[in-house]
Amino acid sequence: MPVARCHFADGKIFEVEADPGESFLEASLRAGAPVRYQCRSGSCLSCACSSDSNGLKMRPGVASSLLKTEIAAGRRLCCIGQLQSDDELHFAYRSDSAGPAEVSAFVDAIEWMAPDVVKLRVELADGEWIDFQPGQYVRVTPPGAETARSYSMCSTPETLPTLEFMIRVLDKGVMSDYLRSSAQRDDVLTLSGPFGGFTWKGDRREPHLFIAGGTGLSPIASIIEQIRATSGRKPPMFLSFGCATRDNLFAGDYLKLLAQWLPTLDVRIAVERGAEDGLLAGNPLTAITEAQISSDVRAYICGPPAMIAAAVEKLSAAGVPANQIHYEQFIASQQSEA
Amino acid sequence: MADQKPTRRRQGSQARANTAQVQSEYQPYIDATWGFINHWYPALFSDELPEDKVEGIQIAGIQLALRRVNGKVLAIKDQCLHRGVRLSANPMCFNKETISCWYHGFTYNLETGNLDTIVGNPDDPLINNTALTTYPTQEVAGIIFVFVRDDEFPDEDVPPLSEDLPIRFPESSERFPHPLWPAAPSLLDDDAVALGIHRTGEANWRIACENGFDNAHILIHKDNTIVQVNNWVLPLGIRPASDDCISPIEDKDGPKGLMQWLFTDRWEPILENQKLGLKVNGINSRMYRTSVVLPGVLMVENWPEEHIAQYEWYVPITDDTYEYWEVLVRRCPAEEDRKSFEYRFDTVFQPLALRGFNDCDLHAREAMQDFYADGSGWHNEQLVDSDVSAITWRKQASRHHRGIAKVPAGVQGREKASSIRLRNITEGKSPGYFVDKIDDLNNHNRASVRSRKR
Repeated sequence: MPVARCHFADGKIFEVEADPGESFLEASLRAGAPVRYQCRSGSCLSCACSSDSNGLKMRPGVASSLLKTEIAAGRRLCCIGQLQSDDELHFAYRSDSAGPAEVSAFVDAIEWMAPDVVKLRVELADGEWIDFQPGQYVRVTPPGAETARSYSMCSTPETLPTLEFMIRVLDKGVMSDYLRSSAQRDDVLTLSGPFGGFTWKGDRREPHLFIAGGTGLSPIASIIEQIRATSGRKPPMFLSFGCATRDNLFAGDYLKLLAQWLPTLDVRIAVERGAEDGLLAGNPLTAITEAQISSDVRAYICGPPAMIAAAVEKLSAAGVPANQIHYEQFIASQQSEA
Repeated sequence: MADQKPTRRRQGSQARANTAQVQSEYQPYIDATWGFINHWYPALFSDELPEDKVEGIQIAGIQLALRRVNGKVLAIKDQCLHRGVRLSANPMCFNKETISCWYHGFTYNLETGNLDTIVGNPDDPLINNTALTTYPTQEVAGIIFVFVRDDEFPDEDVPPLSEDLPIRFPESSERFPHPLWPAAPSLLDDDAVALGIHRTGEANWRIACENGFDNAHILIHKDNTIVQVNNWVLPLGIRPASDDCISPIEDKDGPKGLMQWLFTDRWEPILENQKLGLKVNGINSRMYRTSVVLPGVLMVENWPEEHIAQYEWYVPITDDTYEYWEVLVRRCPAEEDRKSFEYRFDTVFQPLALRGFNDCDLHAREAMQDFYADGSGWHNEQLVDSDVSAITWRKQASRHHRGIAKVPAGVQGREKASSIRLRNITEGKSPGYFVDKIDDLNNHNRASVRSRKR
């Protein structure tokens, strides 16, 4: 098998042996080389490196976000790269700094969208930066706290250095306590990330089905905003959003605006208790009928685990292939709280 | 300071038609300072671009070079990838397929935008590895249209020109009937003849566009020559009399905008203002009807005469200049029809309508510009019920536009006080639509050249 020597900015070299048929990223992770990565599909550029002798080749026929000119200049993506012969590869970061960034961010605004939902807006500190794809999340540590909580952005990369989150405020929890009691403008939070593979897959021909429960709306709003900002034809989109009760329903006006601005977006809102004023009674799956489920539909689902399980089951039973169903679980406590 | 009672910031009255809620519904329109992109815009009259000529213009912050090759108009981004030089400033074409940058010879294929070669560096690896964006074009009735798009906008998504032109008659006669005049002519009619002018206006394109179909602005036109010479008597204003006074136009695969039901009982002419002691007797004016579709195309049916429609575009150049297109369209099946239309255009329509009458509109748009120039006017304006036309248009535009032009980088007019711009102004050349062409490479005219005295 060919071998690549991976050079990092701190001078460390990792030797990676790879099968010419496999993804070079997988081989380097197996060999313990601290290659940064994110999308694993040739789009995010996290795993970019420079090749000296063209042993690492891009898998033929796979689209990547590298320009032809960059490829000609020796730039490669590990995730869709295949090692055909020995090579020297150069990574622009230190071997001990790989992975997501950790940055500081100032609180700009805290807006209560419902009795238990906050929209948090932060601005990255001067000189610090995080890139992300719509749908991803970061881990947020409140001032003085030891532990972090995970939240998905509802804003898009276009508004960086400003990030926005829709956050569910629980009765207890490190972030919830902070938001309810002491949070104020200009507080400094620690953000690390981005994380997560729940991102827009980018095909504008397929009908899109979005199913969001509670603050599971946050990453889905980011994806829809990204589609709104993308040049060219918009896909047909159907968003079904649900909250437990009429009283903790949030973002209704915002979703109405989104539907106003996007002629190809249909929005349904359901509440389990207290349905009135055109709201559907039930959970977000209530509004999903055969009309929204075609075999070419691409589904993005985010919310509580039970809702996700039910949605996946419903879509699978209707014949939607598993690789067209994308979901992100929002679980309170350790990993996620939203 | 201490004993002063704090007062609230001045807010717009809650009685105004553009409440905060209404404003939020057309926020994308407020964001479209540099125009909407991924739309068809008129670029030049056909006779402005003879075979092999290259012309440079700017639309929605994008610099475009147009060249006619074997009769066909090709459009390419007018900004060399190498150092940003405008290709059209001193056009250099060695063959029919390409245009070369006159500075270092980067040579682009006009059809694909591909960097085909570099005059003095034909083996450079950059060749065939980079490209300028090209823009689809179409020529109808003597007007060259360009599809001004984002660099990423895919070819297969380019809609037909008809989706960015007003609705057509008689196919829409049933839906929008009007017994008072024959079917309005369209640029796309086989025998359509379009005569008109275009010129640069100093205002944001939206200010100009909204003026075109603002029913209450009839007040500014009462003293116009074309009105007086015809003994027309205009009402003081026109108010909406019914909530169906405007119909949205939003057919699938068709133009998007609105139609106003003028000269029907859905709009009420105002004949009297008692407080001012004003009264109008015996209304006698031309029956016209206005509609507007994206990206800001006005159609005035039955104006300025029977069988004619006036079309207008307010093509954004920068955030504070627009190219104002005024075009009269008439169907002329026979050569004599064309001749008499041309004669009447030269002797009556151009001086009295496109100039006299619409010059008055240019004054009004400029008068609004300062209020809106810094963006605050969109929130501070206090709209009234007769502004339903503008509000409906803003909402329709917010919903159906194909993209908001980004604030451009590195183009003419982005920096308001650049040294070249200031020099041009002192030399009497206002910032405008066309590229500043180099007419003599051996002569750079400067007012003060100093030479060493011996």
